[in-house]
Amino acid sequence: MALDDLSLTVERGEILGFLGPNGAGKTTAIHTALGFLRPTTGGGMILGKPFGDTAARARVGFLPDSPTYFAGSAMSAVELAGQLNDMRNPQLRERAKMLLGRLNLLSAGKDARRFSRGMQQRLGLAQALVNDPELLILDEPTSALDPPGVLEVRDLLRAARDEGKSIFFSSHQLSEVEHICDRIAFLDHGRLLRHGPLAAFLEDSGSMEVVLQNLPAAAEFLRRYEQYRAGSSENGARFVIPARLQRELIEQVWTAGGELVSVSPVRRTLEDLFVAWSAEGNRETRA
Amino acid sequence: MRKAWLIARQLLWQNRWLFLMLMFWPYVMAIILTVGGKPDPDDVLWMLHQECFAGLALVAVTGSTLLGNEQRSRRIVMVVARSVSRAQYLLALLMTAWLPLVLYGSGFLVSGIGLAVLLHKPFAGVLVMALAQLVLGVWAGSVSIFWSILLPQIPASIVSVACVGLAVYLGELGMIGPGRLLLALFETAISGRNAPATIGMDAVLTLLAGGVWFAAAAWIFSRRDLNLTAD
Repeated sequence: MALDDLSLTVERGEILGFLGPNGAGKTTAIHTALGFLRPTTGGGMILGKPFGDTAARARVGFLPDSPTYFAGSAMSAVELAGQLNDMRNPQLRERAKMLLGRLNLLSAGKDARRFSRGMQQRLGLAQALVNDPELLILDEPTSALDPPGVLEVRDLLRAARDEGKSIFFSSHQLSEVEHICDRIAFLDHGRLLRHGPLAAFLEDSGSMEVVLQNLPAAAEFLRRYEQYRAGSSENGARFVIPARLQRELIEQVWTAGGELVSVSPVRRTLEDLFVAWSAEGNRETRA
Repeated sequence: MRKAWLIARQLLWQNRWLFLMLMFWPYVMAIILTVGGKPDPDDVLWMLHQECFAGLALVAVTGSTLLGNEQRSRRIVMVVARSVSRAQYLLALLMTAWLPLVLYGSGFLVSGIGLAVLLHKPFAGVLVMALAQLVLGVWAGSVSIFWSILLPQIPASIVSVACVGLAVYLGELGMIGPGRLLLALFETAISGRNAPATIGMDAVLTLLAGGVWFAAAAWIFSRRDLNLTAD
């Protein structure tokens, strides 16, 4: 997958969610930043060094989407990752033990190759964290975890963020992204379509939910808003209208003798955004 | 060197049973030769020469398949995502391909000396063959790793073994270095007779040639994409 003029920044103490449909180029972007792939033209910097810089990688922790291991225990896998990042014992062993303890892997079996996928993913996270990296790049870190495992990882990532680490979190698990990410970047067909604070994206739907009561059945204006009617509840009739129409609607309701129960911005889910942005990406590509 | 060793250790451990079996191969061959009593000296020499070629072929085949295996299993990601350069990674592969030859060579040496003693012959030639084999192993390993970067596993193995065969031919044409050392390997007698006087210089040249092949491999590999399937 080709990447087109992609530039992303992850601040200190921040988790950036990296989203996009299959084939969007997320893994390609990560592999390019780590130097596994070479850009055909151009280049980039990671931690102030060119992509693929060996010394810079000692300051990065990476968890691939499907981690694989050599024969050996969880401890030996984490120690190897630390040693390859220039760490030495006894600090290395202590940190490995601490991380394996936090990820419930201290009593795991003798051969990491035979671990369940969830255990392998947790072990990969321990490897990524062992060198106390400034930047964590995680590719689908919770895809194989059970709910308690997801909570453990979530806590670990929040703790890492609180320590000032920058976390690049690539995932299809939108609920997870909603839970822990501060900002998101949405990639499609190799292009960055959206990039910004998650909260702003979720709140900025451009629509308002208006609940009304005691509407006169014969009110003429209601016909104009029929298309925005979103059902009714015991509180009254619900309308989801574009924000620009809210003032007009409310004035007409009052004029007609109706009663305004509530007005609130419609909060979107990341799933809504994902679907909408994917469709937009497809339209732009076709165009 | 330390990082290369750390990686090579893992790869060696991964294939330990195969390498241990190969270590015993020269003993098995020696036992087969001596089952019927005192072996014929020509048979022993022929077997030692075959074992030399098999040792080099072992390095060539191992070296040419390691990179493909590691890329296919994606274990390479676990390694090169750390602070490991492409050259260090290739050095680890070279060590993984060459170190089993030390084990194999020790079996070759011990079984060869045993056969020489049985034949009441001096065994200097066995020692020369074992050392030449180790030196040529560095060269063959570098050549095979070079081809493994450019070709898929099976073609890389075929080309690598063909390079060893071609070097013998070039040695016959007078090429110094690996060619002449290979020729010396196959012409040296059990007693050490026929070992050419230039063997020391050819050993040095062979190591240099191995270094050139390795440097070329590292240069190319550091400019190539890893063969990983993206999402």
